[in-house]
Amino acid sequence: MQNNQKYEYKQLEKYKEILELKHIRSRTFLVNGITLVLAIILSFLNFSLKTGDNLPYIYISAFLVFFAVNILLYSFQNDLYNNLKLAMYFNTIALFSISISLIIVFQTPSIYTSLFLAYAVIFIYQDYKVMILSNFMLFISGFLLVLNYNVLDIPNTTTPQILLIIVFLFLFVMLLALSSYILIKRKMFFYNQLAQIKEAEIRNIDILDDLKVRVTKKELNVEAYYDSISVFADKLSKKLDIDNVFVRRIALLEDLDKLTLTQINEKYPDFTDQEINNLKFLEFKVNNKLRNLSVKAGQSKAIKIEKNEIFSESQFTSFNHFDDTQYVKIISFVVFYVLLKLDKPYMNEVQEEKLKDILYNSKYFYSIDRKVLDIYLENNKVFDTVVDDILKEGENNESTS
Amino acid sequence: MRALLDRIRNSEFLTFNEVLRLKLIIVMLFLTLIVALSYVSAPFSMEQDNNFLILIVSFSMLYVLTVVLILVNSNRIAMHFSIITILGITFSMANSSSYFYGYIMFFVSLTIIIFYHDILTYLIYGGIVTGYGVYYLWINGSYLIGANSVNSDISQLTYVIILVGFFIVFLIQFILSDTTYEKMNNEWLKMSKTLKGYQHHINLHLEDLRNKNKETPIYHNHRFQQTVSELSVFINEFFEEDGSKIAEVVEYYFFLHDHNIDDILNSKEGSILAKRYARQFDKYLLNKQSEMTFMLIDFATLFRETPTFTEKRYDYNISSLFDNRVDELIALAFVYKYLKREKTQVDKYGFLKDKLSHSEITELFKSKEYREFLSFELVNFYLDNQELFEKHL
Repeated sequence: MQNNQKYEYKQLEKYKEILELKHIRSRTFLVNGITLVLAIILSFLNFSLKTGDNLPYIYISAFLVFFAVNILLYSFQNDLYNNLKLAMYFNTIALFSISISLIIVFQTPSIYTSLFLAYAVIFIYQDYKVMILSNFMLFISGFLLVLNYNVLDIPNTTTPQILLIIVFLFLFVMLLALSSYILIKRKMFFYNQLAQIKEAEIRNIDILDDLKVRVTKKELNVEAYYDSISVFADKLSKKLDIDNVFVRRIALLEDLDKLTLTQINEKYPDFTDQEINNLKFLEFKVNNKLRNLSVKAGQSKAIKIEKNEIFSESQFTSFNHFDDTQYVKIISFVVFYVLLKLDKPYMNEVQEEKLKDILYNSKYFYSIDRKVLDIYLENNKVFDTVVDDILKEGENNESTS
Repeated sequence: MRALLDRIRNSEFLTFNEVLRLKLIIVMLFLTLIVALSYVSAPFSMEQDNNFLILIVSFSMLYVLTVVLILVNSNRIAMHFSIITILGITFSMANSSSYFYGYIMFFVSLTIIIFYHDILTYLIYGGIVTGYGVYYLWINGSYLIGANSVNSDISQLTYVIILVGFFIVFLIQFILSDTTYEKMNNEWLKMSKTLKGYQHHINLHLEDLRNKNKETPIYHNHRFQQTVSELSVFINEFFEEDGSKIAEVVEYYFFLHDHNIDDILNSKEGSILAKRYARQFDKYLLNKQSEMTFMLIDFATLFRETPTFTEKRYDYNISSLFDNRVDELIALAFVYKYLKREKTQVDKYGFLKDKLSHSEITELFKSKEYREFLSFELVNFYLDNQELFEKHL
């Protein structure tokens, strides 16, 4: 069984949740805004009917409950992600319930199409579970309402035509469901790509730093940094005519990688645990935050994004480019494979079973031509033997001779 | 069918063009179903006259044309033709079948246009459908009033509100999606370029290491070349009877490592095939920063030991990282010193040699791009005290 997430960075899920929260928050506002407009229009139409009953007030109360629940769930900021998810499911059921009740009360063909409008509003969420729920509600309620109520009782409309409308309703739901499904997959892909590249950046900086140390054979002189920052802080304090508030913090920073937390607490009683925790971001030897920030700042010079690059297909790296010939797809994959089987300064040789598992259970599965990859997956032992016989054995023989 | 379902299931990994092609195939299947159903119901919903025949002939022509366009990979034009086809069907149905059936067809057309998820296409064709729908309701609205209707004017108005509302809600959702995705794509693109910057530095270090160890580049290793050739032939045997044909192309791939691709592409003597391979292999060469080197380093990141996720793991803004002004200033001093003291820039010869001067750092700090790291307040503080930064850091 293929598991695409087996080799995802372990930090991805949490960050995707943060991205999802931003998305769901803006969508909730939008759904509430549109529902407010629809509530005003519905109230206007209800009052215009002048039926003399309490119907307009009943619907106004229903919408008030709708907004009250949304406000309530939004106000609990502690677990906002789950609260907004709850609001999403509530809104889906509530909007369809209002629409269905309107159809049952009025039993007219015009109000029947309010189901489509409820679906359109819910479509904004772009969420798998909501998609299934709203498709189910639209089709089942649409189907049952036509069968049990005379909502489509229009002069000159025959029964077969009504049945055809039900079939069209089914097609309509199917197409919207597919549209929603592809859109949600795309959205998730973007979240994934963004989360992945953020983590990849940190890991790239790590590789870069390791190689830099290997090439230059020296590590960053952190003490020299602390010394000059101390001098700078002293001069700055004099210029601003304030006490040197930096000196103890810099001393604490220097001690962070030398002393234990208990010793730090004893030596610096004027600092709270929270302050010490925050200071860890400034520490250079153990915590890499400031190093990463500095390396990134050094790289960010003159990065410009051209308009034609946005959503360009060429930005995604793969061995399966649309306009590449079969030969190029084969050779590029083979070069990649053989290189992975060799030791490199930044990565050791990947063992055959592990390599096969990664290529099958990760994003690389989609970066390689499917036919080429299938041949590899079915014959990976042959691949391994060829590499061993020609490349590794050959080199061993050469070095012994 | 299974291949189609597989493609839908893995649609996020397809290119934009491939997704459009997939959507076109789905739309054409739906169009076929809609027309078949309308044809079946024709005896009781559509007059059996010349108009019907014209409709069928026109639909068939448009249908064939769209299929041909999909086959020749002109997907964008095919999309327009498929929409024109459904518009034609909708307008014909609206005028010749039952009125409510016609009204439903407006939603079906809008759904197909929505399916392509292209804002401009939706605005133009969706606008036409909605506009025509409102006109249709204005003229024929009275025929759509149900037997249970209390007030015919309100019923007619409800039809219009729902159709226009449906169009507007999807339009809003398109605008929101496009803005969100464009923003995300922009950020991803920026990150991707930054990543390429790191990888350029990584490649420079690797070259330094190789030179120090007096090693030959892997693409010059004849055993490596032989392994690649053998494996390529092995795979190609599944596609061609004479699998060894690929060996020549493998040789050409390694040959390209010692030649300038631009010279080959601009050469008047080279064959079209050689130029084609040169262009395609350019992104997989090992002697420069390429997709191949990018993917190798990307693969290596899977094996890095890293700490678990914390809230500020991907936050690089000094002001949001620290809630204390003193800490912010220490961090600013640190970044300034790093940029001034460490080799972070590539010189004009492509070597990692350059450090940034004080004026260059000042320009960077003031730039729009640096708002990602420094707040305006912090930059202003820096500008007011820059002589101290320059002298003591």
